[in-house]
Amino acid sequence: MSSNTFDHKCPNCTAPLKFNPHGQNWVCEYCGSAFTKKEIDLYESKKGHVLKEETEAVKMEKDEHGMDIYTCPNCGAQIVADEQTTATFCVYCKNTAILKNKLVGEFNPSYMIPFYKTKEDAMEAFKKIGKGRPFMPKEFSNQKNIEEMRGIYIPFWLYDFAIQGVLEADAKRISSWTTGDYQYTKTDTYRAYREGIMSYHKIPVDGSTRFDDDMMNSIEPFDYKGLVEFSHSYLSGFYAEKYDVNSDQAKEDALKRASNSTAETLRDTVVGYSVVDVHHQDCQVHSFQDHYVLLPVWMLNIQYKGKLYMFAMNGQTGKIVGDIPIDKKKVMIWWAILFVAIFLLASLIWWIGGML
Amino acid sequence: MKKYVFAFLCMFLFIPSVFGAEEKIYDDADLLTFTQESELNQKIEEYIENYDMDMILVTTLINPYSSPREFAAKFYDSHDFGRNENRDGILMLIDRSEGYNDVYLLTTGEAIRIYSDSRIESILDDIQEQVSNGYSSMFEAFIDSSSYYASLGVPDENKNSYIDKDGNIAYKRQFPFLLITILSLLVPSIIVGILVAKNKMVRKATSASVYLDRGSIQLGRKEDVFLHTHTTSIHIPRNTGSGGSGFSGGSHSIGGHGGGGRRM
Repeated sequence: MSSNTFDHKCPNCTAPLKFNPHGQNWVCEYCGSAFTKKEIDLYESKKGHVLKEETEAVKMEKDEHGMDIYTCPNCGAQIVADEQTTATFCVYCKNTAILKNKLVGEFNPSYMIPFYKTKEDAMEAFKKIGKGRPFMPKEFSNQKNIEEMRGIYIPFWLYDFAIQGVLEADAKRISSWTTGDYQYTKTDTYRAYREGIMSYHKIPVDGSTRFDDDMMNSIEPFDYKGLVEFSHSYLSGFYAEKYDVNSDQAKEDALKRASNSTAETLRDTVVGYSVVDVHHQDCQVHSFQDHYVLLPVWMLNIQYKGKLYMFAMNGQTGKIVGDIPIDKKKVMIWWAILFVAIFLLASLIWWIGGML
Repeated sequence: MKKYVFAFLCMFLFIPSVFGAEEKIYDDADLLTFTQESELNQKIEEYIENYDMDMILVTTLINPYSSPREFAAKFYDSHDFGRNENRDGILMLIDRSEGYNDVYLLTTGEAIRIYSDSRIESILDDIQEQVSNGYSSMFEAFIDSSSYYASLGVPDENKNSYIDKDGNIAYKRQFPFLLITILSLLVPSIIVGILVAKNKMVRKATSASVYLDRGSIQLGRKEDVFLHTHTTSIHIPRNTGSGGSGFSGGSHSIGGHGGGGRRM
């Protein structure tokens, strides 16, 4: 049990089952059957031991690059996976291989959000990325530029904080009036003291060094109403990773964000002044809790004119992010057209103004 | 013989008026001698010939109107003064109705453009310098000063002006080339900048406000302590008219004329 790959089999025909994000159920691509989470759980609790025997695969060894080698339970081929990978595919039979031995103990996620968006959704979203972005090169969002596309359950740390903040600011109230030939300006200066405690829930920080932190920030927010207890069943059909940044390291990023927002929240309570000058602020963590979860992300690698561009789509909400190259020629043409248009328009307004 | 002499005199008195050398000096207050008048007349003729504008000198002891300006304007309008279509000309009035020398310079037509407010003030200064030398000198100073400014032509500030159909000065709207150019450079740059920024979607998150439970906020301390107050004052300079004016000058309420005056 400690070193096996794991996959779901169709109760009807024993073909592999795949998770279907749109229906939030499991479908068999061979016999067309569909099963709910309840049905799967019920079936596996009965037949579980049989399946486990069938899917047991021994972790062979590490190869010369330090990769782990597993045997596919389906076709017996070798599955090569690196240290972080927890779910991958057999390159020969395309079966999902869940490396269950890596999802135990501290690496066992407590919760996850299943995929809601399919590969086709991600492709569609990428095709439309040029909408409202006239400076994208015309060919960029072409489907043939999608070099690689993976639905990955990315390890995230979610942090709950109760943060106490203090803030001191000089606040000025400025009023002005005129008496006779003199204009008076009166400045009342106050010192504003604020102290407050507030809670943050589930600030996400990605727990894998393989994914760009800023990009993972940019696909936020996830809708935590979609959080479910972790189950291997949702991994079928997708890749999955385990964390390589531990909670203590990742916490710093979340804390920085929470501290900024705490100071900002306190600052926003200093109202009714013309000028507010904060000269002291401090935050202390009163309590915190971390959750290890897997969140669904579609990663797209785009090959365009010999350069690689990375895009990520929130697998739950469909929000897609990535930096799009800029077509400099288009920028110049736009600028020139706007210049001429505004020059003519302004001249016309001036000319019409003279007729009135 | 007497008839003959009379006819001869008539030729001298009236013929010049028929052929354009109309009367230019109306010395009703009798401030000038006959010789002074003829000297001034000669200078006026020179002025008219050189600058193609009329020039009238008027003195009065009675002013039935509310101001020297009104008197001057009524006087100018009731006579056939002025050259060309816009009745171009300048009139100097010495109004002694209140026992003072209220000097008013009335401009009409092209003269409004040439004699800007600042030039009128300079001419008045030149006239005032001659007060102690008598009226003849004051008029002379007026003619010399007016000639000098007429020789300079229209000042820069009025280059862009014209005389409208009511005889008032009007300014042509000038195409705001610089403003429109700056606008045309700036606005597309802002629009293009915003659109370029749209292509960058990956940004580091610095705030956690989305994850803040607003209901959990408990303010333990909320104190605004008064430290100090201070008040500053600035004197606002008021627009006061040119100092020393004995009566309201520069008023444009009487249409078709410009000018300015001063009590001396």
